[in-house]
Amino acid sequence: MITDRRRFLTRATVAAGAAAVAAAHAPSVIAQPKVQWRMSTTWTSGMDMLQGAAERLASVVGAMTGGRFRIEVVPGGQIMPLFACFDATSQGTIEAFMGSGQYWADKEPALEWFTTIPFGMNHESMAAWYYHGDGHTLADEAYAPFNLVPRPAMPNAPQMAGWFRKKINTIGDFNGLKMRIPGLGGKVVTRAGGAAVLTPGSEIYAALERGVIDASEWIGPHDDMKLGLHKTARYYYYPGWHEPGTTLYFGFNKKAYEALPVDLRRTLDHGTAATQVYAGTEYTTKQALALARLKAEFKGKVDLLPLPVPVLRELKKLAADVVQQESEKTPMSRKVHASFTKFQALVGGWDRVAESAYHLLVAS
Amino acid sequence: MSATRRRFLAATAAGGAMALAPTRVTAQPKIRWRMSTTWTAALDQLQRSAQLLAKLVDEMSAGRFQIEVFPGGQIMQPLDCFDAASRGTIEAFMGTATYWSEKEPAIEWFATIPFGMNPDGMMAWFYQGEGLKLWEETYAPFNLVPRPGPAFAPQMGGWFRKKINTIADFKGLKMRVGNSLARNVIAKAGGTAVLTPASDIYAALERGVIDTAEWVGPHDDMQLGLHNTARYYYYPGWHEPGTMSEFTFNKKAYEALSPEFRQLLDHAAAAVQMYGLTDFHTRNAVAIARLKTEFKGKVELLQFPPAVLRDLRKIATDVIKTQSEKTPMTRKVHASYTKFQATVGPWDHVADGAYHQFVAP
Repeated sequence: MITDRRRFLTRATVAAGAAAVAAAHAPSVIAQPKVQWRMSTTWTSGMDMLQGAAERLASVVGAMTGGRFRIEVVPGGQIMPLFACFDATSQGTIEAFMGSGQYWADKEPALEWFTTIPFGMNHESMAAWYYHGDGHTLADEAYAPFNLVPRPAMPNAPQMAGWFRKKINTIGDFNGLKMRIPGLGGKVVTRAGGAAVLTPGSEIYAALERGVIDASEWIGPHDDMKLGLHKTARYYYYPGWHEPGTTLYFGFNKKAYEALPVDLRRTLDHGTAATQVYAGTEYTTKQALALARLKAEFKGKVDLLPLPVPVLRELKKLAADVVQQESEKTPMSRKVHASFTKFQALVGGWDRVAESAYHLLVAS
Repeated sequence: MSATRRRFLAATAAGGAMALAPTRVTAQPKIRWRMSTTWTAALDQLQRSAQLLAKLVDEMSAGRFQIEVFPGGQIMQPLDCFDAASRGTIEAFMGTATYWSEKEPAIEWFATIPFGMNPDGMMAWFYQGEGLKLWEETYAPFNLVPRPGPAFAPQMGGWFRKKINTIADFKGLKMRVGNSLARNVIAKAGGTAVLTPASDIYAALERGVIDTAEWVGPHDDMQLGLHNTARYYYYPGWHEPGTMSEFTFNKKAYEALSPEFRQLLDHAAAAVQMYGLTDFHTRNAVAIARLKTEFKGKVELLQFPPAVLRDLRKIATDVIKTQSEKTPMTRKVHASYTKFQATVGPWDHVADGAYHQFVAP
């Protein structure tokens, strides 16, 4: 506290020198932030990229407002349990949280669509749906009953299909398979005859190692290797059919958000868009570096394999049923599913000639 | 001049209360910049991104920082904006780095190169690799500070009046190509590459002055009416896989900004990237759907044969290599670019590539 105060004073003194130029912000404004928020997340501090994205928003907003708007970001478990942040923000105990919509699907199944659905859109199309389709309006509507204002935080995708101790050759290999896989993807695995379990991130390594589970997905090489998963199972499968476009979200308490002066509200909104760019590029880069490490340092110990096309075809069929059934649960999920599906069909035609052709014919 | 001065004084008089009363501040901007672009007003998608940056900066600064945006041709010729911003006649411009490669060949790598990275890769190189640092270094001699704008990519391969079956079909072909490296590729393949200005492409194709032209993607191409002049619409746009636009600022003007406004400008540019790229994605999706329905039977959407792409890639590799040896800066930028592309490539393959091949269809 005292150190902080001293730092403020030093900064104010320095700023005074530049006063003639920077007449816009009187030093007194810098020293006493007018808006101070607290954000709790569903991540522990070990999850560097996810927690990093929350901290990034705080730093972007702080920098753009010359310190007039401060967001104190704390990892899950510090001031409240990981998954308490949604309700705490909803009640106004804290002003903001960052998490994955998958965690709140019990409250409203529609929230799953804003995160990702099996065989759904990739993160770029998810963002297009949000900014240029109905995504934004529908997300606001779906979170409104909880007194929350949602904003996309970062893409956490594409993901990998997961680590397997045995090879997957046919859809029959999912029979009896005990796999750590959450959400709708888990329901698909269950339909394929497997047992989907929701092991917390920190326990996956031990569960795989001891054979409590046979397979597990987590995120991508960077995050997976941090958990040590590459030391427990030989076969690392792609693509992550179950989470093709995972988009994590910030949630703001509605009253706190609306109480912000317009310029700070816009700064927060545009700050989340900038954070998506920074955190998204960090995701790409760190996964790429980790994959290179995996291939070099663990050569002969880990096999990187694509799921066979017929297996993906079967999973897709099962997924269509699961998603359809889930979409009928509430009026909101029906509406969101319809909008998502329509947008996915729209961008598909362009995706095929632009993105897909790039990957097949230009990049390779 | 005096009007600005008066406005400045009035704003100063508001003093300490200013930060507390944004409405009063809105009426009296303290910083006013001018930005000219390399696009004419008719190119709505490109021009809109420049206006969007101005809007974001205005909103977030509560009107204390305003950027007046002019389409190319209004206060200066479209391609004069680089020099004007360099000299400080205007404080900012928006364009794509492709246009300035004659000043320093390295600049081209910051826009796109044939068979190079896609927007995802480009943005990762800028923010997580050395890309932006190298771009700043390249622009420093021109007194300019670059910031990546939205990507307008991937693009299409272009409009052709005749089918392309083998690389030999490029022989004698007169083609409009924007990217200068790609123009060299076409020339080496035996064609004649020209840089027809956007507004003249339609007429040139229609009259047979050129046989074929690439512009951007379905949305922008249809605005120029290109679908009414040539039957074959080819993909992928091998020549511009990751075209990035740029917001570039006069160095002195940028450095004179308060740290707060400098950050505001930087982060606003990043936000516009997100809005602009997704806008590009959506508008092209809508346009290609229209092309397939309304112009069914009149336009054929075709993929370049893999063998043709293989040959083009071979030529492109040579062209890029030669160009990369032109200046010390080019050598450095090319090395960094190539290394980063090799790093993200394998991840791209299992993540995005596999998504498009196995999950999306």
